[in-house]
Formats: sequence, C-alpha cells, structure tokens
Amino acid sequence: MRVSNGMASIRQWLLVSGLLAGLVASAIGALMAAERMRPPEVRALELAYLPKGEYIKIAVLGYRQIASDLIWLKAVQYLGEIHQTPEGWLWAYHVMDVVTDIDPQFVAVYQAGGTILGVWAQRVQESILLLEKGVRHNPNEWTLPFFLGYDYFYELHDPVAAAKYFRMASAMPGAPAYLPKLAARMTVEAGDPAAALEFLERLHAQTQDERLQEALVRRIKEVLIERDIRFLEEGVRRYHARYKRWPAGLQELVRKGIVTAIPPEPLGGTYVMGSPEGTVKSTAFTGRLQVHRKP
Amino acid sequence: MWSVVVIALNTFRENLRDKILYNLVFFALLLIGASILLADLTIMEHHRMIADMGLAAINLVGVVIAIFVGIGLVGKEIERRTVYTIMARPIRRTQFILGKYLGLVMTLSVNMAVMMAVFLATLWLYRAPVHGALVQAVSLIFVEVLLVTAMALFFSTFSTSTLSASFTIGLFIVGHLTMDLKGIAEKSQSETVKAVTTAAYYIFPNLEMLNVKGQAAVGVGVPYAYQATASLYGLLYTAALLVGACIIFQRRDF
Repeated sequence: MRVSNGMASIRQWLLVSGLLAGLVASAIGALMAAERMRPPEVRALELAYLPKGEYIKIAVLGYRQIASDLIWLKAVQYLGEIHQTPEGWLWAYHVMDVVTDIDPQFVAVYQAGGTILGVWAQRVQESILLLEKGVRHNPNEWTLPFFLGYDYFYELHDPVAAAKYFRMASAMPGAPAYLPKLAARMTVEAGDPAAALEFLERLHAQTQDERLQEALVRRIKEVLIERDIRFLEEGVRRYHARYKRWPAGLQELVRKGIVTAIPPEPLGGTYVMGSPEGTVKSTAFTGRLQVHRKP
Repeated sequence: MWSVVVIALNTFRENLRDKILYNLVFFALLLIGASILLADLTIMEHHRMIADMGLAAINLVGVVIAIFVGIGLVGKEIERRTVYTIMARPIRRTQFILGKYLGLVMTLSVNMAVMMAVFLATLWLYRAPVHGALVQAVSLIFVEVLLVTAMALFFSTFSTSTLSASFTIGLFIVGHLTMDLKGIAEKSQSETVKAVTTAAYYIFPNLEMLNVKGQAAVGVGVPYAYQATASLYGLLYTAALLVGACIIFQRRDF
C-alpha cells in the first residue's frame, strides 16, 4: 500500500512538473512568435508616441534623472537600429528634446544628439536647436558651442557665426588652448581648406562614437580632395600660362615639371581633367565643397 | 470543479463587500474631469489625450486592483484563520487557489467592463473617434491584468502581504523594461552579458508585448494574429504562475 502511494506521488510530481515545464516552454514559444509578429511600426514609432517633456516631468515625480536615463537608453537603441528616414530623424530629435526637457543638465544627450543630427543625419536645424538649448542650460560646457560652431562652419557655410561660437567655447572652463587661435583663423581665412582640416581633426579627436568618427573621416577626406584639386588647378593654370593650351592629362603637369607628383586621391578614385577646361575633378567624389571656397 | 466555482463566487462577493467597485466612481470622475479640463487647455490633439488618459487609467486601475487585492487573496485567509474552516472541508488546496483566482478575475472583468463603458461614453460625449484599436488595446490590458493577478497570487502563497506587493510591483516594472534588456543583449560584445540578459528576458514576463496603448490612442491597430499570439503568451505565463502557486501552496504548512 505504502509502495503504491509512493508511486502515485512520484507520478503526480512528474505530471505537475511536466505541466509546468510545458507551460513555460510554450509561453517562451509564444513570446518568440509574438516578437516576430509585432508590427515594425510598433517598435520604431514607439518613441514617436512619447508625450511632451513638460508632462512627463510631472508624471515621474522626483525621478527625473532616472526617467530621462531610461528614455535616452531607449533612444540610443533606436538611433543605432535604423537606416534613418527623414521622419525617423525628426522623431529622434523629438526624443532628445523630451529627454532634455526632463533633465536639462543631461549634457551627453546634447553632445551626442547635436553631433549625430549635424554630422551624420544632415538635420542641421534640429542639431542647432538642440545645442542652443544645451548652451542655455549648461553655460559652462564648452563642447556644446564647439559643436554649434561645426554646424555653422561646415553645414551652413557661415564661418563668422561659427567663429562667434568658438570664441564662446574658448571662454568656458576646460576649453582647449587651441580654440581662440582656431576661431581667429576661421574668421580671417574663411576660404582656407587648411583651417577646415585642422578644425575637423580637432573635432575628430573630440568624438568618441565610431560611426561619427567615420563620418568625420569622410569629411576630412573630402576637404583633402578639395585641397588637392585647388593645387592641381593652380598647376593647370600655370601650364596654360606657359604653353597657351590646356594639358591633355594631369600626368603632363608632372612631365613638364610643373608639379612633382599627382597626389593620391584619399577616397580611392583618381584626379582627372574636368569640364569646363582648366578644371580638375575626382572620379570618386563629384561634389565641390562650398564652404572652403573664397567668395 | 463545483467547489472552484463556489470559492470563486464567494471571493467575488467578498470583493464586492469590500467596496472594490467604488474605484469605478473614482475612475469615472478622473476620466471625465480630466477630459473637461483638457478640452479647455489644449487646442489640438484633444481626442488623442482623452484616449491616452482613458487607456492609461483603465490599465492603472486594473493593475492596482490586481496587485493589492491579489496579494490578500490567500494571505488574508491565513491571517484571519478562515483558511482552516475551508481546508477542513473536502476541498483540495489546488481548487482553493484556482477558485480564489477566478473570483478576483470575475471582479476584474466587471470592473474593466464598466471602465470600458465609461471610457467609450466619454469618447462619444466628446465626439472623439472610436476605433477597433481601442478595443484591442483594452483586451490586451485585460490579459496583462490577468497576468499581474497571477503574479500577486503566486507571491502571496509563500510570503507576507507587504513583501508580495513589493515583489509584484517590482516584477511589473521589470516586465515593462525587458524589451530594453533584449536590446542590450543584442548589442553587447560580452558573451556572458548576452547569455545572462537573454535568459533574464525569457524568464521575466514581457509586459510590453501586451502594451499597444500608444498607437491605439491614435487609431493604429495591430494585426489580429499578433493580438492572439501576445494574448496566448500572457495566458500561458499566467497558467504557469498558477501551477507554481498551487505547487507551493500544496507544500505549505499553517
């Protein structure tokens, strides 16, 4: 009798633990299936439904920093996740605006948001709005006007406004010593690629994010191309002045001893003669940078 | 089976005697009051805000009742020693647990149905559009509430009321954050972090799966297949918690 009782309790135990294991396994299965089925807009636009910061601020009682940390964590996942669309970037801006509404002293958000929107996403206006808000709330953080300077100098082609922000940054505690000189050079030599190169290299050294650094390296290479093109066009002009005709190819400049060598093209293309005659272009990068040209 | 129903009905009656449904007055006043206020305050998106408020209030009221009544289901019976009179009868402990759970589920169903009605009436009153998505959202909220009730009951089978409440609230908060846990797992370089966060993601309930309030308020629904799968997930998790609660309660001495 006792033996059969023992058997029964073991059987019951097996039954119950089997049931539990089955339930847990099917729950996990259902979760995985639901994950796949969850429509993408639910995930991507999750942030789009974020209410305004002024409301959240009240709703989270005293836990503003934690709330802004959590939203920011979510936003960072999102920024890494998508090949962004214009709407996507606008929502990203919205999130960063909300986060900094809740916690206006969250400097990292201004720094990351300002550079990502400006350098990477080409949403300069939003980048400027965010950074200006950062400067208002954090008047001692020199990187914020420094990044604003980038937006004005590089994206908006306004070296005068840029220099204003560099001067502002250089007056703040902790600002690097090279800033005032850089500001001066950028105002005076607005059309000089060398000044732009120096600035971009400084900015590159200031950035930690790998993808931002990549974007900046690309910018640096574009400026290098611009510098090379100017150098080669100068050579072409001298050739024309000497021989009263345009060279058939750039190698002719080297053969005639006008330039010592054709510089390698940093993006992997080559420099060739362009049209109209007398101009030089790169096969890899067709645009010409506006900002570094003298007006 | 019949004893489960009897216990459930008794629990339901007890809840009514505890004046739980009074919260509905509070809910209605909150929703209608807030809507009147908002109508004055905002220029645009007034309808969206009413929908937001309504869904959030239904969710919150449901979860609060689930937690604070759920932890008392078993605990109160033990504290008042009324559990002895029940256990003396030919009722299995499993039946007792299931009956208690179903009783609270009945209370919650009535409660949610009335809240939904008040919500729809408010929307109608302000001529806000009523989408199917709102019904979807509320049905998923109901699944969430079922799950939270099971959590509270599970904890209360082996812990005191105060601790059960803290555990349940903690698990509820974690449940809404596990999506981010998964994001961390995907992005992490370290294999250990990845393994731990992935395991944690599947062990803790993922309540965000049941949360579509945000887009429902602007009239964007989710596919029915998703709604069904997510509900199934919530119900399976609930069932697992109930089985766990039964196992623990079987072994408990009082």
